[in-house]
Amino acid sequence: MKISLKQIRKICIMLFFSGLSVTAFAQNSISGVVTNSKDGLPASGVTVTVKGSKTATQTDEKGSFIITAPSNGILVFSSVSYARQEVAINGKASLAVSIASSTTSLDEVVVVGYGTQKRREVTGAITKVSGEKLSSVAAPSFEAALQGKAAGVQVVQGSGLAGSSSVIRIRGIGSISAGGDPLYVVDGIPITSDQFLRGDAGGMNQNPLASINPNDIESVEVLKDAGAAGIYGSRGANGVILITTKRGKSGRPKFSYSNKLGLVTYTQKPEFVNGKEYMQLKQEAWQNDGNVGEVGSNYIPGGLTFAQANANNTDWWKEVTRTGFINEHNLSMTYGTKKLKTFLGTTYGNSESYIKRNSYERQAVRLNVDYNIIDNLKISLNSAYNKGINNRIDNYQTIAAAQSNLLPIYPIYNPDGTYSTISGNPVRYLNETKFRNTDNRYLGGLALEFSPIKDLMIRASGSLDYLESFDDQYESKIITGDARGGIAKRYPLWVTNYNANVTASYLWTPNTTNKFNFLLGTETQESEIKNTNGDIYSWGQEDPLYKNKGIYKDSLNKFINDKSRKKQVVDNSTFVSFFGRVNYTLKEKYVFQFSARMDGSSKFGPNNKYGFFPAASAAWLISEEKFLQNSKIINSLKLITSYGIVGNSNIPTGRYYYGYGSTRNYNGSPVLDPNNIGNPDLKWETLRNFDLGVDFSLLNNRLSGELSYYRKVTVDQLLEPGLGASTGFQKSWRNLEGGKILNEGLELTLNYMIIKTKDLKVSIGGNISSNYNEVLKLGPIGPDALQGGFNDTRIAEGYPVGTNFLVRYFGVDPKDGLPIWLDRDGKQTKTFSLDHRVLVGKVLPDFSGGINSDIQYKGFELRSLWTYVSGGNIYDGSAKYQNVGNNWNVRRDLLDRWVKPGDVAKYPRLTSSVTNYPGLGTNDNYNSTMFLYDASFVRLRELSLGYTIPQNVIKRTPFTTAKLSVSGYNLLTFSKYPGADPEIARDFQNPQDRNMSPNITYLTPTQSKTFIFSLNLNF
Amino acid sequence: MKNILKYFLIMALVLNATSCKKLLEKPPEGSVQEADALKTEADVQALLNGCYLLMGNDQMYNGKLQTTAEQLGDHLFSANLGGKQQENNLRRSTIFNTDNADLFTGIYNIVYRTNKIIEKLDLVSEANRPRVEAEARCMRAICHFEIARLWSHNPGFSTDNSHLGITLRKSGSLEPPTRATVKETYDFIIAELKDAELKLPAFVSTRVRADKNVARAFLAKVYFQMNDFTNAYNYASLVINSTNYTLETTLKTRYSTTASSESILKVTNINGQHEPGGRLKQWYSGRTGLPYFRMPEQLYNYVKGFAGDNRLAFLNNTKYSGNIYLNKYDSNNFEMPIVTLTEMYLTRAESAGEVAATIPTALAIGIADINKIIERAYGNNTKNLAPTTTADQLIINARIQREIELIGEGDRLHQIKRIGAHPLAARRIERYDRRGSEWNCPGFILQFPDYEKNANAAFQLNVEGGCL
Repeated sequence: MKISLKQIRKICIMLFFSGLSVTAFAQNSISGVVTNSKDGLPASGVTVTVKGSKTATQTDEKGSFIITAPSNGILVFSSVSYARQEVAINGKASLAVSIASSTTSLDEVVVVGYGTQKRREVTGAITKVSGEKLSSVAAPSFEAALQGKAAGVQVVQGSGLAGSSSVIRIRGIGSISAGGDPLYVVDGIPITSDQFLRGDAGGMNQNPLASINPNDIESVEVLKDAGAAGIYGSRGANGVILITTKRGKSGRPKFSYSNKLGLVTYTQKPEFVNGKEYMQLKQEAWQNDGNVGEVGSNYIPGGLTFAQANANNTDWWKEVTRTGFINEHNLSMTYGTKKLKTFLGTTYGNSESYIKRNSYERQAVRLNVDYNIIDNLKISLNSAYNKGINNRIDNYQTIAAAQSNLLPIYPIYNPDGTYSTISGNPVRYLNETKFRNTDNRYLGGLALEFSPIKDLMIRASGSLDYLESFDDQYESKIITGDARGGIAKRYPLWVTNYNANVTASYLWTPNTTNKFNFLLGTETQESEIKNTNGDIYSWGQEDPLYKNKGIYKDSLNKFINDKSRKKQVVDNSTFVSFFGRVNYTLKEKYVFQFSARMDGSSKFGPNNKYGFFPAASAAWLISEEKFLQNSKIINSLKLITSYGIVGNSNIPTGRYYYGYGSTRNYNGSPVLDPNNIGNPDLKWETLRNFDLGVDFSLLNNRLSGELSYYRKVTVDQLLEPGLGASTGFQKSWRNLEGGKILNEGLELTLNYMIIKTKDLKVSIGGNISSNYNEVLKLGPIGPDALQGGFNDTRIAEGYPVGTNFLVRYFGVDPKDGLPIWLDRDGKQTKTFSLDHRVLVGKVLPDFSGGINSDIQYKGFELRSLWTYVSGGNIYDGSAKYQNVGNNWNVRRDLLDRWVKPGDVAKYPRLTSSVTNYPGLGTNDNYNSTMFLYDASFVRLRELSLGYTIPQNVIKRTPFTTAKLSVSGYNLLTFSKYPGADPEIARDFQNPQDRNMSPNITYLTPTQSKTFIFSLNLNF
Repeated sequence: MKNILKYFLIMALVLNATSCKKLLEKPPEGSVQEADALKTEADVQALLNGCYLLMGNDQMYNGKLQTTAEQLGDHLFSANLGGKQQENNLRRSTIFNTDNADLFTGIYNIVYRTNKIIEKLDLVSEANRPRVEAEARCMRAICHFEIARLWSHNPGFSTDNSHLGITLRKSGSLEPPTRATVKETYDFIIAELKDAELKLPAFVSTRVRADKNVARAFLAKVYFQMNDFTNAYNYASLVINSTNYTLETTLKTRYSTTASSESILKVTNINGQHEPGGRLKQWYSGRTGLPYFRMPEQLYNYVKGFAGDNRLAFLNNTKYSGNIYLNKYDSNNFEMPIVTLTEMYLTRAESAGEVAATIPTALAIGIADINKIIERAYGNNTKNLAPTTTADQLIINARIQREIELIGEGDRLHQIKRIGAHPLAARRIERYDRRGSEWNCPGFILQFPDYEKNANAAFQLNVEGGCL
């Protein structure tokens, strides 16, 4: 056996100390091995302390330790990752300790704003999800993988488009125009997560979070109430998602490799009529309108003759879809000495969607270093470079077009072999264009931690979140039809986020019953978005500009020099903040916490430049009380409560200015244009947040869970629309006077270990959240004031945010096939009118959550995750156009129509134009409950079978562990929705639309169904 | 504890250092705050310049006003229209017609600017103040007039014009909208124009800014729309008699880059800076392909019925087989006349017939006026009205000439409504519309954009539909 110098040193030190104390106690050298109770692997980095003394050591990479302790003493094993455990020595010279991970323990360390706390000290509602649970899932982005894993966190997955964004809502929505997304903080850096940096170009909101590497994530903490998120002040109202990346661990270099190889298809294909059927429907509409004979040539779209139209039968869906391939590889290394700890990780992944030419490629490298310069001075570096290449397609030219204006009677090619361009042509588009978005994101921070005296820690950090984004579009000469040839265009965008903060924390323990933890800090942040005021283009190109960087640079310089383009700041916001927190623990069972933050921001008007956000919270560890200490049922029981005020300031900067611009002239004389209605009183949105919760662990820790109740009232909502157009403007930012929105809910999380034997472990868990949302007061504004952009949703007093405002469809008149509506009083009428609209349906569900199971037998592990949504509605905004009169293809589920007198049908008679239905002036207004559906669904989100190769098989290999698994995602869906996919997050027009319209579909590409094979190796 | 206090004190100093008031002031780039933007007379003048640009180039008279009125009228081929244009054409416009909303907001944006100018008159020198104020008032009146014609029923819809008009914006405040009556609306417009007439310069030779004749021409238009023929006759006469304007000898020069001698107010074309008429070119021009707006065969045949009328050439039925389009706006670029001498002649001619009984000289003047239009249309005087033409015949002929002369210029709708509201039954035609609607059917006026009701739940919307 070789003994390293380090071990000799350790032994010497221990001998030294044991020598000192031998006169007082009967000391023995105790050795042992600590293993993870879950997988039996060595648990390194575990601190081993002799209870009641300062003698301590750490386990090495093999989980081994040696410590000197009294033979009748007690050893305490503790670590960030494991539950604190005490083991009596009982005279033994060696110990084998199996230590449980700390997921349900009160000693689990939880990341909170500007620090960490032990679970027992936490007074706020925080849900922790491990990085492993996120990275193992096939999801377009890490935040999408939170679905079903955290109660109170509603995740509506994005569409089937690669890199699409999900809608994340923490305990409901209380905002109107301001963004309702949580604040994302990576290693203390509030990062750019704006889904509208590129608007909704190409029918998709670009997700800047997609480039972040899920494999870098150690854990995600979701801060849900004011007790937890209050420290983030004016940005905490929507909740905070703290992302902690992996750091180096003590021990020799350890490597980890994993990969994912998989196939991608769609969850459900929408079914459409074929060419012949389409023409039959055309003929039927023609005759219904009172015409006779063959359908008129003017009425056949695309200028086709009746014979030509009947001869074609193109399956456009088939032309734009494929089986996609996933190929991902991750390699990481950790290494740690007493002074230096390093984590290095790198990733390459390419995930194709089921849509041709559409994929998301991620390249990432991360280096996290912690270095103890001296005992009380540490420097930490977080550094990550993420490159996300989204090979995009324009939804409305491909997959959406295949579901709408591309009729089966249109050919792909003309008889001469050229592309047909009757109504766009996705084959032509896919072959003759390129569309790519490249995000180069650097996320870095440097922190200095100095402990001048015991228990006082001063931390100063500076960080940068820099995103350089290029949107490249290319059209060949066939598309441009221009003598100059093809055109390559680039839309550059730069987002820079500087953050600096200084915090001082002091742990004051005046005696054994009282413990205070003080935190005081200041922070400044500046965020700047720049672009060029137009595209940088070059004619005569054969390739996009990302293949010709020199041409891009030349073009950019040319345009800058001739002043036709300039780099411009489109948004520049700043925050200056002061904050503090006091956490007081009394007798290890009563915890009180007060926090406050003052935020000044360039987003607030001069009359409200600074906002103050206090929060108070408390926890009672009931299980520490004497009357429960000997309970055989209750292992831990904790009650928490909080009340606080947090804000939402998620709006563009400088909106309080009365703005004027001057760039034009009139007959040579200068022109001044007013461009913004200002508001010096503009301020943050305020959320009053009450939370009451209980955490428990019962039956020898086999049953654990959390139950929470919350009541959130949002006031002073930030509002942009609702200005009378006769003011000369349609929008102006202001706070809604008297507005009040309630979110009230219950969350329950349960985990139960059904069987726990050496070889077999069976556990089941789940969570359920119910959020009641109601707009309590709105003020004297009209029913259409607060709309969901493209989508037909509203905000109205007495109803939840995102209510449908529709004419009620009664049915079809069997006599003539015309639709029958209900007016506002419920009286039947055949004349459509927007005046008949009533508030019906809602986009928010009654319940949502997830159910998971885990069965482990020897090396096998079978995991499943079901997600579900109960209640709420889907509004299909495209169905109103899905008719022959509109020259769109017809979905088969819409074929249940009136054909002849006496027919009892679901849908009205076909017609050449819905304006033939009395009262309708345009297809655009043909919104009614005819297309409102139940949004409930249950989905087998994940089914995974893994196999860990036994140690005795791999012991002769360089690997310490090896695991193989096969997984399927979105394998089964049960829903009443007749359209493609019941889980819908379409492209949104703006944050207000995103707040109000998660369940509105408009040709939204159905979600992906994915099959993954993966391999995980540690060595 | 002392040490702790010391460290916290050090940190507090750091906190203060990071607090920087300037850091919290981040105006949007390229945007100037009002206090800095409106400081001098030149700034106010620049704001005024913007009103003309918006009126003539960006919004109203770039074609949005004209094409909207034509959608409601009977001079468009309907079958190929879709979406918002179809909705208007079916006379069933709704609160969600974003084309109408943008036009509405755009016009009121000019009103907002004129109100700002009036509020900032103290920045203007005493010498220029009356002119600047008058130009602002003149434009404010024109904007209210055009909105009133499209969004409220014609004067005469109710006997005392107590029916609802539009929101009068007399200041830059953001008060929720409320509708004035049509009487209040037209009283305001007339008062504004009269006030402007007093203060405006007699004649601006470039014709790109308001002068007295611009105010008078619009007074003539306003009174004519009200079927107040005496005032219409008098104000049109003032413009015509100023002799500053002459009729173009050919039909094609009104919409060309050649400065039209008949423009009373216009927006010039300066390539790359302002090229007015965008919407007209976009929807009417058949220069590069079959345009979106096509003309009905019924109208073609109607004009064809006047043998020898050269204006038939505006209705091209050969370039795109089976389709008729208006080639009046085929030029790549053209100056945009906002009000013209042609319109004044047509207005005075018809008004002359109406006032012939009270103004003895009017009939002859009216006949002479209409003959100028006829001679130009036919290229000779063979179709001229005889001196013995009666007042009724003059009116009938003036209406015919007006319809043909101003095809595609957004006038037809307003004549359908005006003639329907004529106070004399003998001269009233309640279904002047060739598509069969009564002049006062609800859908003949546009529905207000939802924004108006959004800001005031009690805002009274128009009744929709009921025309076709």
